[in-house]
Amino acid sequence: MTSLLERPPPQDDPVHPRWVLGSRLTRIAPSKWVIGVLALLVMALVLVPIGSMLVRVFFDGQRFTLSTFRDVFTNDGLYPILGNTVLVVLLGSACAFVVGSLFAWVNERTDARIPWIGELMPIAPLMIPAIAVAIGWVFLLAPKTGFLNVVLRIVLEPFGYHAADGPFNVFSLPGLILVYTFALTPYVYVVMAAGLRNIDPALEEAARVSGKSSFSIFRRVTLPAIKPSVATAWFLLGAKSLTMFSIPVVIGTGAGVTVLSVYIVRTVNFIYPPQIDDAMVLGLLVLVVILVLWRLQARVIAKGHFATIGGKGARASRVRLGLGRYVAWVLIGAYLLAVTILPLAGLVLVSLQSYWTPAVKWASLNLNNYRQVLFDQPIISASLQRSLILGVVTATVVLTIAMLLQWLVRESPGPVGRAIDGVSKLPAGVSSLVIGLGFIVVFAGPPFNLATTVTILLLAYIVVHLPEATILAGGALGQVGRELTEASSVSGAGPGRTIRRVLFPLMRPGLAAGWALVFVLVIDELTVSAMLSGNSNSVVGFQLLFLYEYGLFPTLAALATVVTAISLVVVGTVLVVLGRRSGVQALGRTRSGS
Amino acid sequence: MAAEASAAVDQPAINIKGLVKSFRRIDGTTVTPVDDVTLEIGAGSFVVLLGPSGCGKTTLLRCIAGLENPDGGEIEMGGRTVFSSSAGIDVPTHKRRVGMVFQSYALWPHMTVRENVAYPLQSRKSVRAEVTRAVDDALALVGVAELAGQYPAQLSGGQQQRVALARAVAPRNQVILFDEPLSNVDAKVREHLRVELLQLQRALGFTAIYVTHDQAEAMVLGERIAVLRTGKIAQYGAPKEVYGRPMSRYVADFIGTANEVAGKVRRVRGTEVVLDTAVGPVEGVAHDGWLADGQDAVAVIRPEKAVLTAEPAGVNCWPATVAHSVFFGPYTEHYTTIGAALEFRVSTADSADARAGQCWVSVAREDVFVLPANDDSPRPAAHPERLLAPS
Repeated sequence: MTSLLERPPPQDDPVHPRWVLGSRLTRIAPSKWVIGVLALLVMALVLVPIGSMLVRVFFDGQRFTLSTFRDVFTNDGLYPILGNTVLVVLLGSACAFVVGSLFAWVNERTDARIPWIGELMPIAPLMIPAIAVAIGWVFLLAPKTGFLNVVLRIVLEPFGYHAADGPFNVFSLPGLILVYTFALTPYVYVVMAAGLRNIDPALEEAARVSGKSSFSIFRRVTLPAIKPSVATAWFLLGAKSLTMFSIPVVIGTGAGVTVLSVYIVRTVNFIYPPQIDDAMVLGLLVLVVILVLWRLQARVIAKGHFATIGGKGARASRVRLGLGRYVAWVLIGAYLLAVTILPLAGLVLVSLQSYWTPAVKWASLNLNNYRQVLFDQPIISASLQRSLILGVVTATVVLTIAMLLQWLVRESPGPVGRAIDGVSKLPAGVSSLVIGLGFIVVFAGPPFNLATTVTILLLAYIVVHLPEATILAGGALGQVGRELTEASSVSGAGPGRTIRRVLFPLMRPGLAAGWALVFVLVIDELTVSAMLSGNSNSVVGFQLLFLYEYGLFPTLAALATVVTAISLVVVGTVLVVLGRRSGVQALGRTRSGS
Repeated sequence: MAAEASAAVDQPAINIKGLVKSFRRIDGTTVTPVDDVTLEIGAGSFVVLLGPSGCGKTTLLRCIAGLENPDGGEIEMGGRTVFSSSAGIDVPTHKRRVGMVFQSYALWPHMTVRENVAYPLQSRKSVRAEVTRAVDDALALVGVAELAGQYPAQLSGGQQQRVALARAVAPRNQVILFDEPLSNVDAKVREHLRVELLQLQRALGFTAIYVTHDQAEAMVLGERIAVLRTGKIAQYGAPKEVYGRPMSRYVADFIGTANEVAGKVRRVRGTEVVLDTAVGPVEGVAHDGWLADGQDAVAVIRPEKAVLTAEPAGVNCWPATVAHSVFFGPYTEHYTTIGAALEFRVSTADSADARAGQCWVSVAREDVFVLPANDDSPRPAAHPERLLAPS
């Protein structure tokens, strides 16, 4: 105690001249400048490609022109594609909405609840990439050689079914919509479950007292009460299904159903000479549709009149389904099988064969394809390696950017902060289709000449995944109370030290989850990869498409299985690590600031 | 130490001049939580910023720390200008060399107690051996030496606040800011910590600026109290002054309990005032020159200054009815009605006084402090020697 009292006070050094320079600007510390410059760069990276695309669509040199539009829309070949797109988007979304809402209702509002479903649903599409599900279902339901069809033919034979193919054909409109439904259901589930969790159960109870049946209550009372969730779900469905690429490129192609997203990507990278301008007009169309959907959703939400969150703890009453519970469980179980075990089984089975045949010779199954993919075929193994490296680099870079930018947003409230936050999330609305096009416009040609390089892929991946990283980093930052960083400043730590010693360690769990998410998304990425990657510097997504186009199914199956395995391991590791640590996670408890 | 202290007395530790900070709300309206505040805080003193929530006391404290960016004015600390809008100076928080104890403790959950306390020392690039010693000293000083290896989540609220205090004092800051640090710990611990905080401040000699909305806490801790009202300082003085001679009805009402008797000034003679009220003439005292004949005024009477008697006695004596009495332990509070409708609280040390029914309330003249009825009416410039000392 005495030594503390006796120690001389710290020397008063004179005010550092750097801080007496000018007005407001001096407030910002040097490393905040670095982050500010980074923010400008990132905003440019997001906005310039999109802006350039718009300019190029409307201007021929200096002159405003709509000639590209005229060319695109007078092409009769476009209209069947638009028709297909509308059909697939509407039917796929409608099916996914019904299934997703039903599952959400069962799990949130009835006694058939299975707790872990709520946790599994949001991450299921991360663990098994959509491309793997699509290819898996091709292996299951191809008319002649699909494993499931073969089994069904054997089962149905005694009942008089003697055809050489069928009974199902994945290469058809229903097949396409089925796989769309599989892929889109989790989005609906997440949004609807959140909405259902928050409504006042008294509304439903009142209806039950009035003698309505369970289904009628759901349709007449529950659904209208959660209109905002419905609007959000439909917005997501519209945006996701419109820009969906992996499923239609695999199944739609075989079915002869070409949708807009596939058409755009093909126009850019799979026909010669590439019709960039046409693609951009169509990209703009996608953008406009998403914008309109977004405005519609915003209007529904703004209108109000919704039942808001009721009192806490009013959770007791759940709809009793009786025997209906078993129906619900069978449906949910069937869905989970359909998006996980079944397609994976198809993939694995083909990956172990020398050629895809339903007459499985169990003794001759081998790992040759894996050896091919991992070692013997240099182009494929190199693409795998490239994707892994890109995944690691993109995840690291984009999360670092997101963390720093979110910190800057928090430190500078007002229009500047809101602008940075908005631009960081913008790519989510713009869709990777449009971003890919924008990158071709800006970076593929002179002066950058980055076409088909790893660099252009990296930059595009960063922009495409910035929204996810931003949302996760923002969430992680929200867990770190403002006073914790303020206490660091008061303790004499500059922004750099505050970020390093306080912010980063406390955000680590959230950042780790975000890192894994972005890594997996990059490995699974198909749209941008298909547009920007070339044969020389190909990535996994490009190779998957290439192998599919050329019908090299066993190799394709092995590569898809490897990608799925990587996704599973990474997501699983994060879940296990964060789950085990959750007890120690002081984050939630020490959330401070008021 | 003594020489250092006397040298410091000549120069205020903190000198705030015309400080303004306003925020623009989302709806476009502007709030000004710090509105032209001028405040001088002596070195080594303990100053409490007191006011209801939303009065701007925390914003003022955060301006001193550099956590808010003021719109105008000046802040000097230890002779060094740390903020000046006219000169374009704004020293960032981490270069201001202040300590701060937060309401939420703000201990870093991923660091042990030792690491938390060492952090500010390391930020200032001290030698490692010195850091270790200073951390040990600081932890011993606040009585949590045995917790050095623990993590904050393993500590009780009181222990966490001690660690936060150790973190603030360890680098020997000359100024330590406290943002309602005791509002999250329970009452018993709070009382302990208050006393320890005062002892620590006396022993180490730092200047303390302490924000609270708890007037009892302000009384215990503050050498001087600055009572804030919507961004302005309503009164700045020793607790006794603020309590006994409030400059406005707002202060009188906010600090302690005040009975108000409204009336018109019949006559002013120096500091002596006679007020015509609904319960008859009231004789009291006022600051010289604050009141004029015929002015609307209010007599402020503290409950413990009034006396309950069975028989009438002296000036300012009114018949009253005791509606009910509440026993608080050390004192008893009587809720009485004087005349037709004037509610009047009297507190007595003796619970035997607790009687219902008719009695007399009386107050000595010097315990009746008369203020202008309108708080916003201008007050003559306050010459300390002309102001009435608290009774």
